[in-house]
Amino acid sequence: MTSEPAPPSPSGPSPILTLRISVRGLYDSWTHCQRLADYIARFVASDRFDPEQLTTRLSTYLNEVLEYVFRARPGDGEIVVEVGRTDEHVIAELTMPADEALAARLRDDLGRVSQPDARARYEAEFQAMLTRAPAEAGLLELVALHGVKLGLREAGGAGVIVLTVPHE
Amino acid sequence: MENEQPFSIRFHENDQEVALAGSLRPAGPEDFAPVRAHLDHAADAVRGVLYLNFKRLRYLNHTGFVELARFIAACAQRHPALKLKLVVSSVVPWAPLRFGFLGAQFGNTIVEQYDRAFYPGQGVIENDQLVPVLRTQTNIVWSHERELLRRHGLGKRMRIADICCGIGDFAVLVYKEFEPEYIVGVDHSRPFLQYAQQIAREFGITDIEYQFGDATHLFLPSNSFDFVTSRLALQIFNDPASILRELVRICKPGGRVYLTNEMTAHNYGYPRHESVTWTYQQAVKIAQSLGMDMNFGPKMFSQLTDMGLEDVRMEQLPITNNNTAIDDFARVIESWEEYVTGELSAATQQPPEVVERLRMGFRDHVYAIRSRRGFATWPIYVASGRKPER
Ligand SMILES: C[S@@+](CC[C@H](N)C(=O)[O-])C[C@H]1O[C@@H](n2cnc3c(N)ncnc32)[C@H](O)[C@@H]1O
Repeated sequence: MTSEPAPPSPSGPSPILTLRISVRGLYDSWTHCQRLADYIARFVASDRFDPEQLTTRLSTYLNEVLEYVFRARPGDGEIVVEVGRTDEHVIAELTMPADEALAARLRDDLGRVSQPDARARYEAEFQAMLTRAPAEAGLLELVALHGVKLGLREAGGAGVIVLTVPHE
Repeated sequence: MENEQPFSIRFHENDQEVALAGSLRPAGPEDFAPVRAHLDHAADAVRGVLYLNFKRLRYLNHTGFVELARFIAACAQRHPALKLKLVVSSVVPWAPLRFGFLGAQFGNTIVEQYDRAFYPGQGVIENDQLVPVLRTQTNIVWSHERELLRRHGLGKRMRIADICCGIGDFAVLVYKEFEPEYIVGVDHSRPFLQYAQQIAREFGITDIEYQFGDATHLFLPSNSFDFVTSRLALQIFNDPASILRELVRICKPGGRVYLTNEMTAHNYGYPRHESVTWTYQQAVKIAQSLGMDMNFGPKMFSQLTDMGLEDVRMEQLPITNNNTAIDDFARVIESWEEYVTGELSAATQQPPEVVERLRMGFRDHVYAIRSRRGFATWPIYVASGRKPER
């Protein structure tokens, strides 16, 4: 399945950074999610106008995706984060090893998140989240409240979460 | 730049306020428990309204967001009469979105975006009507200020912050003249920052950082700049001390805080001095009705001293029609005329006869500037002080 938005420019994003981390390494500590998110965000935003605002936004979004991956517990292997830019967007792709079970779960979760009615769904489900928040709640919020796009691509035993963030 | 602040939570019982700052990204409810305990304690201790101050909370993950919502829901049960007021700032880009959403979910919760109208003059300052004023002013001020900055301790390759940077032209000039190691400009006007960005792009400058921010709640780290400037800004803000405290906080020990402000009542032109003087005194009153103190200049010496700064130096920028390009000086006054008789008079509903008289005074000032026998001044005060070594 591919629910990822079409790349905004025909030539695709120009690459900025690629980062590889072992899944085990990520599991070492919950705080790795935010450290990574902050680092990547700061790096990507550094040459932009008002880098602090962009850093805050990117880190907020990336952290949410990394926390989701942390909880999804992919099997041994590597997580690869690739970030690129088009004129209007920052595009981050997060590749993780995905066996059949995880792939099915990613399909389910990302499928629920990337619907056009995300905002209405988030509003409708918010009170229920106070009792039990589903795994994809944080991702749904990104789409529903923050104008971020999320998509999924599958490639030979791997799942790729694609995050598309407008510059402003 | 490195700028990570750890999480902190403080309950100010006197103000019935809990202030959260830094980064709050709990893994789950257990992780959040200490924060929840703080919040519960505060909710038990107050009556009426509990303020939750999020102005300095830079990061919050969704788990933390849901935990806050749980607290709000629990409050509605446990303290049905208690209102929660969430105070948020647009400087944190996600905050109005998320907390606005929370406000709509809970009847006991009000959201206040504090920087929407946080100082009385904001409406007349933060819009592009002021751009021509700022532009023309810098043109004539820089020729005097450039040398004077050295006397106040600005040197090459320093780390510099220009707080309330306006359209960013001063930062560009400093960048060219002093080759700073790092320079950042912060302002709360989006139109000005857009202008700054455009100028920087046109000049091919990529090394100046501009930030949307609030000078009373900067996200810049403490003790990190050699030279902190804030020019012609304390005078338009109704609580200058709260900006000054932040300037001192981000300044390194041994570094200097540098301010400029006016004494508008002393703007002078001869002949026709009565008309000129009336206009500036009137302008001061109008500005005062918007919380501004356009005679703040001479007060800086006390302010810097009271703030505990050492080696306080103060002088005047001697702008007169004798030492300044006549056309440029005249253009500054014309930009004031436009702004004061337009934007400012409209905002404060000045009667037409007052507007007319104001206009005459500005024109008489220009007359004095241009006249062969005339003499005209625009005094700007400059002050700086050193932050003590710890
Ligand atoms: C008169 S202008 C001076 C601008 C510039 N320093 C110059 O000399 O051209 C005052 C500036 O202060 C900014 N300002 C006032 N209060 C502020 C605050 N609390 N935080 C950030 N900027 C503020 C306004 O947006 C405006 O750009």
